[in-house]
Amino acid sequence: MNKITYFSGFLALVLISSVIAAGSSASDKIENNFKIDKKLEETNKKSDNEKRKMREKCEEYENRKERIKCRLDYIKENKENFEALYNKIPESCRNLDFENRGKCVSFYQKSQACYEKNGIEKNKCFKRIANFAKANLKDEKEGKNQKARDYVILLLYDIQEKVEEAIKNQKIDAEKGSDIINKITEIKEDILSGKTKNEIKPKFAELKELLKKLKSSIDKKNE
Amino acid sequence: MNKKNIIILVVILLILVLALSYISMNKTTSVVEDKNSNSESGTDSEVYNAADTTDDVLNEIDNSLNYIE
Repeated sequence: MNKITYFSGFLALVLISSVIAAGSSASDKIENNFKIDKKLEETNKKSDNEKRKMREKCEEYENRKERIKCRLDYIKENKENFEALYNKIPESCRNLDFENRGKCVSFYQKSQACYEKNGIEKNKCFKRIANFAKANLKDEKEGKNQKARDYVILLLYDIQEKVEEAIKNQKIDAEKGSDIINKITEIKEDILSGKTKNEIKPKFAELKELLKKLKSSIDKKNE
Repeated sequence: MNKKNIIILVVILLILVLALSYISMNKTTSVVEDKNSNSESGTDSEVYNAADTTDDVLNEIDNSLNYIE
């Protein structure tokens, strides 16, 4: 064989081995990540029984803010969402009359799938659950009031999820988080009990202020 | 070059072409996928809001509260 044949053979070998190496390094990474995840999972593992007891304890508090703080402490400690006990209804539905409470619980359950989505898909999901016929509230012809109420409730849950996620990632403490979630729950209660926008707006302004303070404290920590 | 060498050279070149076309095909597919996903979200974003950040969500709530009676 002459030099050209040797050179071409060498080139082909380099190319083929780089293709194989790229594939195998990707699968190695996946396998390593899986091993690390499993190790972490084993270290942090509390028995299901212990976790259930922690969740039950949160329901024993008479005061709503204390219950919320207890749940946030659970999220922070276990780095997982707080799965409510099967017979417990969401905070914002608890003070409603029997009929509205049922509607509130079923609305909450229906909306859960939306929080697994992101971006536009999540927004579409919210609007579907709130019975939007159009993409924007301003274009709706009928039932704007009810649709706006349902949509705002879903958006408030979204902020609540973001706060809980920040607690899970140790970005904020449970005390500050419970102030915010308690305010969110108050607003949701007002919306569900049919209060007017003039009654709701001042509380929403307070919520914005709480979030602003929280954001600036996180920014200061990061400096 | 004798016949044997020519055959080996052709086989090697064929492998080279196949390997190169495999790599370039993967790259083209991912570029096309990216373009498709961008164009889809571009159309949707004209009517739906992504409302990803907390500020986005707060603005959306602010606007929607005006429709509550």
